[in-house]
Amino acid sequence: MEQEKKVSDLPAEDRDAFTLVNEVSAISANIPGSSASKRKIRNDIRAYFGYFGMPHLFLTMNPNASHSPLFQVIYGDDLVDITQRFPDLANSVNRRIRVASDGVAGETFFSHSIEIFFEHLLGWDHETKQSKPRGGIFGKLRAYYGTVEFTDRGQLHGHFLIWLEGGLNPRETHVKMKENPDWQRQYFDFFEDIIRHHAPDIDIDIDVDPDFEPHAQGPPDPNDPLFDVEFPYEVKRCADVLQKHNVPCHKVCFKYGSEDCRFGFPHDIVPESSFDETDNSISLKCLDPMMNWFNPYILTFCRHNHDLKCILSGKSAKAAMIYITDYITKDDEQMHHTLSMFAAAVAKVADRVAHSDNPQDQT
Amino acid sequence: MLNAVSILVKSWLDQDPHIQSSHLCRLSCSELVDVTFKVYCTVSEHHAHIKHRAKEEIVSKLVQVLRAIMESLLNAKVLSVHHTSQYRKFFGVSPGVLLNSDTFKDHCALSLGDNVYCAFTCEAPRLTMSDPNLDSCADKDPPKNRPTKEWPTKVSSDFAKKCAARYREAYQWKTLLCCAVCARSSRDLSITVYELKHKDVDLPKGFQILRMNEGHRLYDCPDFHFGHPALDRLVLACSGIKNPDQDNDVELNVCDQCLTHLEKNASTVPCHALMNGLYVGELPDHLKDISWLEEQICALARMGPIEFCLFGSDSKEQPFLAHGNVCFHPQPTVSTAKILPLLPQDITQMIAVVFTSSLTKMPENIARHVFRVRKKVLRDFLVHMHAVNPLCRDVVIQEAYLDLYPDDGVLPGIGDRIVVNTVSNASDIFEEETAAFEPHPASMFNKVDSVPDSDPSEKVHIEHMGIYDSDGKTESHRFLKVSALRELAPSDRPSHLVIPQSPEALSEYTNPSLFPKMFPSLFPLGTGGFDDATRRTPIGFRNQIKHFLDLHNPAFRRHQSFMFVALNIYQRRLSHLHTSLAIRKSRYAHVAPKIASLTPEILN
Repeated sequence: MEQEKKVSDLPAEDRDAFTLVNEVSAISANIPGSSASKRKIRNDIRAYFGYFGMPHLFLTMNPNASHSPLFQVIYGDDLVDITQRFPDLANSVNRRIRVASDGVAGETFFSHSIEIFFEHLLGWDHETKQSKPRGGIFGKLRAYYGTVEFTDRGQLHGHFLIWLEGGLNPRETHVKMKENPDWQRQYFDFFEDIIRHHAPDIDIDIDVDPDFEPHAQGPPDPNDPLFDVEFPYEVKRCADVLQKHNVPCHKVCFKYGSEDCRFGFPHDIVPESSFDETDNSISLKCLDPMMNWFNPYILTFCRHNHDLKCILSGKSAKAAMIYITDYITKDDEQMHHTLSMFAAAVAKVADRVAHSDNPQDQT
Repeated sequence: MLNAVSILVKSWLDQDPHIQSSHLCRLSCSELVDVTFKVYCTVSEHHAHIKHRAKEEIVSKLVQVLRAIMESLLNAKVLSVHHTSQYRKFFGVSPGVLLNSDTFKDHCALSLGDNVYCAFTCEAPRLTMSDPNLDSCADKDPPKNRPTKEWPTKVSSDFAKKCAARYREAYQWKTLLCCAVCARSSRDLSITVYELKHKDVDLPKGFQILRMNEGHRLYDCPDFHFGHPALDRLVLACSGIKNPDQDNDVELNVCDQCLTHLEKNASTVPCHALMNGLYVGELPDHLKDISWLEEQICALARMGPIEFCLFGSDSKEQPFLAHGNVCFHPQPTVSTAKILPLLPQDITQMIAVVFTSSLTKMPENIARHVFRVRKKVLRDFLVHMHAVNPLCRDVVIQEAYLDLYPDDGVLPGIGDRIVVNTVSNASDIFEEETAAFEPHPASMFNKVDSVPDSDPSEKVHIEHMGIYDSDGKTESHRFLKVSALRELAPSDRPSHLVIPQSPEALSEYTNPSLFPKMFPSLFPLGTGGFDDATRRTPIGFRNQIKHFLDLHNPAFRRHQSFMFVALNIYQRRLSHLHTSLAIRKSRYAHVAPKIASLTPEILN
């Protein structure tokens, strides 16, 4: 501190340099992975909010490359017959080694999965960049915005904000709910139909095979005459394996030092969807507190874990935006990581100093 | 029925205009529609195999025939005048609609109306049941402007099933073909197939640009002798040619990017073509299993330090399982060698290994798997490189150095670079570090019973990672971690990770030999580097990386470190070359001369 001097003490040239630096700011290119390019994404989403209003759905897709028959074919395994419902795959060790060794195939798998999902299940025309005339399983989409994240687990997953054609902003929804009970019913019917919070209520107890691995199977055939009968069973089987929150919670629930489960499990049970006029809150039906929100078609056809939430207020829309941009703005230097690691290192060093007769060892 | 279809297709291909009508007369109305769709599907399925030029002709022919078929339908007094006009409207659109069977059917259903469509095709309705407006919506405003009071409307399960069925169809993955001109196979490229029926058939004129003149450095390269007079000495990828060594029926796959360029711009080479200095060559079969570590021992240039994090299994029964990741740290400067192979200590000093396990020592089998070195492979590789790679011509192969490596064993000296982090619960630490929704691909390595009996050497699962240095920070937390853990090592070893650097730094810019020097197994001929000024059509750095990752041969994609080094240099380039300065306009006149007067001396 003592050696520091005032700016005015500097030679004239250095003073000039200071003023110059103050006046000029640097603008860099859009460098992939830099924090500036991540900030840009947040601004993009704000612009979408401004133009389209609040999004209606928040969807997270978690395609699983290491089990998927599709990935094996993309990787170049000609022995896998992808037309089969239950194809024969290489053993799981080799499958995992494949995923680890070919990142490009992993990316192709992810993009292809997401692309066909949007094109066919959600009815989005990638060429004209608008919804197909009849839309998809959510009706027609007006817009969507997606970000991709590379997890610490080496797999890609995507977060999407979805705007529905004709959808209303939360405030308009609240007003309409108050005015028109019929519309309220219609609203709940729609969302209870596309977003489920419990496995189908099937009386018969299904013997869930402990080795049942929905990831490693192909999608069922809707033109099969037995499809309608089988469908609820398939939904139940997949939901139990893919959508059920573990008891007790996984480590991931307490990541970033949170005390309670980060995802709010167990959820509160809501026997019937309802609207509370006093505080304008909407609650959707939820019968199974440990089940993650899902859509039965996405579940049984894409066959991987996903998360589909209805955005019911402006606040939750903002929360969703922050959530997905925080995911992508995750720095490689996570403070909690670094600190805990150094704490451990320092503790061990101190320990060794105490046990060593020669403290000179330590540098 | 199928017979009629094949006759129809054949008649178009033979361009006989008379044959169709006579065959059509024999079919009933619903059969006709059926035929239309089947013909359409047959043609669209095979359109990839039809010559590019012929394709447009066929499509326009198809439109004509479809018109004829539909007109005969209309004459059958089933449809009203209203529908006739609708139908005409539909077929007035460009033949592009026909390339996608879904769009085609959609158009049919949309313009004919759902019930007519169903009656004719015996298919389920294509329009959503819940929306009665759609039957006649062709006449109305686009559905976008429909009043919002309809929303939200439940989607019928029939329609959802329809979507799901189409999803299932699209889920079927067709193996990608490889383009013969650029050797890429990517789902972004569409491939056209050229057939060369006889020996005397020549390729279109544009392809002559790909022929090597005498004196070209690859002129005698055996890879370009295909045994076909039209193809010999053209720089083409063998995997893009079907039956290259047979006399007839040679098929050549060409991607749309290369084809458009060759047809329109015959005087220049397409930028992705192998002819454009992008041919990298392949290693002979006996050297193909060279490991990444062996390659680095034989490389003329090296990259930054490498960190291995390995997690041992907790299981008492199978302590020899391990998984983990490799992390490549970027380093702007790389050193270069004149004598090969490198000394073992030169290699080990750039490697740091952290082994987290309940054991106090890394089991031999894991070390053998990850750090395996074979003297014979090293020698064969060096001899081969010396013979074919001009960059290696002056390199001295030092037999005495080679003798420092084992015949088949662990890299000498690696033991000193291993820090064993003995913990009782390695898998818990791993769980915590990588926590996410799905189980980690490697987590099953901790489950003993799920590992099938296989060669123990296969039981090491390594992920590749790179540190990106986008914001110009020189050290990342992983790097710090290695340093921190090294502090815990016994004190008779250097306690810091030494970053090897040589006074002879290599330039990242305009240095075509940089990558071939760093990755000799990927560039065995020493050709194909970045920023090559002798390249006939310039190709950008980013494009060229993409080219290598899209190659049909997966060597680049599956290389442990190429991707990370390339990304890193790319990011640095962006920040070096694409950074601009912004100032207030009013201050411009004042500041600009000052900036212009700056010299490196002042900055120093």
